[in-house]
Amino acid sequence: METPVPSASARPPHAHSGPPRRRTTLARWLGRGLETYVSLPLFALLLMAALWTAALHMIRAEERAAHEAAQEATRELVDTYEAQMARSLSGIDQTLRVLQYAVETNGPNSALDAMAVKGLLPPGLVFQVAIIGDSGRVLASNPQTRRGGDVSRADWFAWHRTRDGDIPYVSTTVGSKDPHVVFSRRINDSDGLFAGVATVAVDPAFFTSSYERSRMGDRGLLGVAGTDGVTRAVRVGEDVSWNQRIVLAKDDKVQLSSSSIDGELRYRSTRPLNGFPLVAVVGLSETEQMAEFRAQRRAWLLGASAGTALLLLVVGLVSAWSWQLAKARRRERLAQETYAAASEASLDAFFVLRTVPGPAGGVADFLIETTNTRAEQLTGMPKARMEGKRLSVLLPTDLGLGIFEDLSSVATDGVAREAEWLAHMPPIEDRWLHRQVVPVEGGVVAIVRDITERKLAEQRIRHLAHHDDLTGLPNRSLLRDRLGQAIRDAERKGTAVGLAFIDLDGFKLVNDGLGHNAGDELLKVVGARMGRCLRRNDTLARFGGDEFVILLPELSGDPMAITPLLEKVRQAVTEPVEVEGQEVQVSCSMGVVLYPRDGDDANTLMMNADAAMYRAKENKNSFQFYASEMNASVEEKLVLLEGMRSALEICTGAGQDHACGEACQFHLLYQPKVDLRTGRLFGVEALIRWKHPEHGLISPLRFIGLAEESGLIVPLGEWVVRQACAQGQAWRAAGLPPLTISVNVSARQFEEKRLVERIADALRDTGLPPEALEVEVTESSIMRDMARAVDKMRELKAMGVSLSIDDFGTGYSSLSALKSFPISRLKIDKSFVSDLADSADDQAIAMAVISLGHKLNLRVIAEGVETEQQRAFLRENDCDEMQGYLFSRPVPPEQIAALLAATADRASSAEPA
Amino acid sequence: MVKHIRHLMAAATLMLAQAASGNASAELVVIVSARNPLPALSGDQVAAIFLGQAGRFPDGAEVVALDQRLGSQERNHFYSQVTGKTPALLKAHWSKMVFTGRGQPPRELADSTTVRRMVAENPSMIGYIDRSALDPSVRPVLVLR
Repeated sequence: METPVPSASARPPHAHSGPPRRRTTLARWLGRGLETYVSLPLFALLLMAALWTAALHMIRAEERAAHEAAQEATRELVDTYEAQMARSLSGIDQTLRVLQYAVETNGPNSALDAMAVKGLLPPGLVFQVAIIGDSGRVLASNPQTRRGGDVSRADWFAWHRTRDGDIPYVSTTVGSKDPHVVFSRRINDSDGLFAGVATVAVDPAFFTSSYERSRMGDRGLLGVAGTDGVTRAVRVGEDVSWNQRIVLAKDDKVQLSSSSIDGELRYRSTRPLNGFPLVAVVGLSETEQMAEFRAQRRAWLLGASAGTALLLLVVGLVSAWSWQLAKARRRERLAQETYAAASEASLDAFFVLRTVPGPAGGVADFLIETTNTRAEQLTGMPKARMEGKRLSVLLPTDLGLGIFEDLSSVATDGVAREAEWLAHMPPIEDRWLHRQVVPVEGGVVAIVRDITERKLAEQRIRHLAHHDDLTGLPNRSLLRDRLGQAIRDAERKGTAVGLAFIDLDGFKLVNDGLGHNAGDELLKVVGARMGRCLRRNDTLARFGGDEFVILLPELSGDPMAITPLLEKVRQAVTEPVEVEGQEVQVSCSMGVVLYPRDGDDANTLMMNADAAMYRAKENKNSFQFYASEMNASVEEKLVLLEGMRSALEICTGAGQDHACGEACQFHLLYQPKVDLRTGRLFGVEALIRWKHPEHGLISPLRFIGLAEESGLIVPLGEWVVRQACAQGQAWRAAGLPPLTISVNVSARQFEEKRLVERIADALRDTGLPPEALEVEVTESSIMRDMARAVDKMRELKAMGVSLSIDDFGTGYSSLSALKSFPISRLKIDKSFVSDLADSADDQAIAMAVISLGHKLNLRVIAEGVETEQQRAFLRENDCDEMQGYLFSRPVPPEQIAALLAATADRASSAEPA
Repeated sequence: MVKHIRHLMAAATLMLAQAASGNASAELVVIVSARNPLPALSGDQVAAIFLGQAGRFPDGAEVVALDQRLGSQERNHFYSQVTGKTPALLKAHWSKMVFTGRGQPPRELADSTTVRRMVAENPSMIGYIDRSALDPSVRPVLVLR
């Protein structure tokens, strides 16, 4: 019926799947067969079969042996009995013949007496002999009891009378009171006629008197029967009986048959006796003969049964135990499989770890026993590679992050632990993991879960809780936290904290006019701009609406320090913003407080900042300190700064455009530097001066610091370099001897990226050779970022500009770093020089600097030299150069020529001397 | 006094009883030849000899026992005294002895005189007789009362 095509395609899978399934079934059955609870009963069955076979075999063998023994005993018995019977019968016959003879010779009456005399009479106790006359009368007898009796009616008498012949006769047992068997012979007279009968009567019990209970038991049979089948005497146990009719078996055979006398089953044998028609009959009771065997058989059966029972019991117990064990094992396997499946399906990574005990009883290491698929994914390692490995191999200590300690403490104290950590192991970059470590016997189970998602969500939530969702800036609560933290830090370090409340001016206009979206957009842009003005540690927060707050930790407490920053913020806010396709402009009002000056807790500070802000709001686009005197000093500084800015604009503008009528308020003075040995003026230091039209001459100490803070120092410094270079070139043009012109570069300037470029430009523009220019750098400005500073110095050096370190000894120069600076001169700070005459310490420092400079092949110059003593000391100690009021104060450039001429004169006048 | 009379009475009763048994000489003695040096025999020794269980005197000399006539007073009395067996038991005993060929019953003699005469002549013989039949030719070795 099958169509060939489907069958061809369907068969192979069947053909393939069939045998394996059969094989597995077979294997399962074999496996089950190997289980003790199955194999043991099977084995026990075999053992029982063997036991019973052996027992039955033994029983059969013993039965045969007992049977044969009984037969043998019967045979022996019949042999013995025959011999006894034969002897007795022959004795009886002998007596009969003697009686015949005695009668023949002595006559019937005196025959017995004659025999008695000769001692030929048998004992009368057993044998009763008698001589019967031809008439049947008892002629004589011994004992004499029967004498005179008539026996003519006895069958034996009739038999002898009628039958002549030398044949003895045996009667049946007769007489009830005194039973006896009569043996007789015929007596003939001399003529050969019947003369009488000689008889011997014997008690039938005589023939069975050899019955012995020890041999024949209680139910044995001993007897004699006539060949006519009638018993003459039969004894069974103690009972003697006679005249039963029995069936005579074949001679010399032992037969097992039931007796016709008493029904007893006996081993029976008969033996014909010679001389008389008699048969000896013996029998042994089967029951008695086999009794021993039966007892033995019972013992065997009992033993086998007991053995079987014991075996069954033991096997039953062992099998039950084994079955229980197998069941438990199956259950355990099931549990393990269930666990494996469950752990496999789990989203958590499982690591089952075995403890490797250390030498001191602690935990030396862990052995990975098993893991699941999730663990493979987590570690990026196949299970097979992990299993059996030591944890220390897979989890190097530098990546362990205390995990091992955690595990080992769980293994030691048995208390489960859990922890979260950020993992950085190669396959799992920056994942947040959660581990739960549970103690188990001989180890621990570590359940690891990737909680990165949760962590991120948490972080997001935390961020949301602490940040403004529009701008992403910290919100009020986070700011409060940080403010508290900043106050605590400041309290500890003795620093100050600044807090600025900012409110946008004109925001409401934008919000109402252009809509909320525009307002939101504006807030975002403005927030971002303000954020860009801040330092790394500062915090910009939005308090909602158009209110922002800036937290400035770690301040010096000088309001001027934060003014530039606030100014920057203010400017950043005022930049136009394009929202909704329209350009808008807002400004801001800021209220500023400083901790600890304006309050020593967050609430007070915030309250005061708010108040200050409202004050600032009155002016719009400005900031107000909470403390009014601060506002005043700031005001003054701001005025000064503004003045400086506009003055600088005039100066730089004046440099280019002479049409501008206003004069430059800045100008340079030059302080000469002279060689201490020759007294020659070899260079000058350019120093800036500001002559304010209203305030007069303003100290550089006032305005240089302000310029540093505001960043105005950069253009101002550039102006100084250009001015100095131009002056140097002017002197050259005027034909003065070459002078080195030193220019101070402040830290802020030195950090400025384009410094080298600016100097190069100035040199190129003025045409001054670089060798004529020296840049003086302070120690502290180099040390701020030494690598960058050294690079910059190398560039200047490469250009041909020489470098010197100003104020040497005031900073904390690394002397080893000094070696690598491409400088040519060290300047001893004037603070050391001023007390040089009196202070041994200052002398020591000056000498050390000089010595150090010379060791490093540097020239050493001392500044602020005002007295002859100072000069004398310096000269004595081999200082190279000096500058100071002793020689000349800073002077306008016009005076330099005169000074040069004077020194040249002095030098030339000194030379001949 | 009373005690003495009672003894006399008992003796008289015994004598009357003996007279009643029909035979004045009811006492039996076991005898051997006067030439036999045997001093005396115990009842058991005598029984063993007469039941065919011992063929020798205790001193090792051969012994032949002599019986009195079957059914006689002396014989029944002797066996009942010495072996404690009834005539029927004796018959069974000797039937077995004879049938199994282990021995023959002692030879029977007519009366005590015949026995005494035979014993006197032969030192290996032993018999029992009425005490009245005793004479110096034989020597009693056991007296049965």
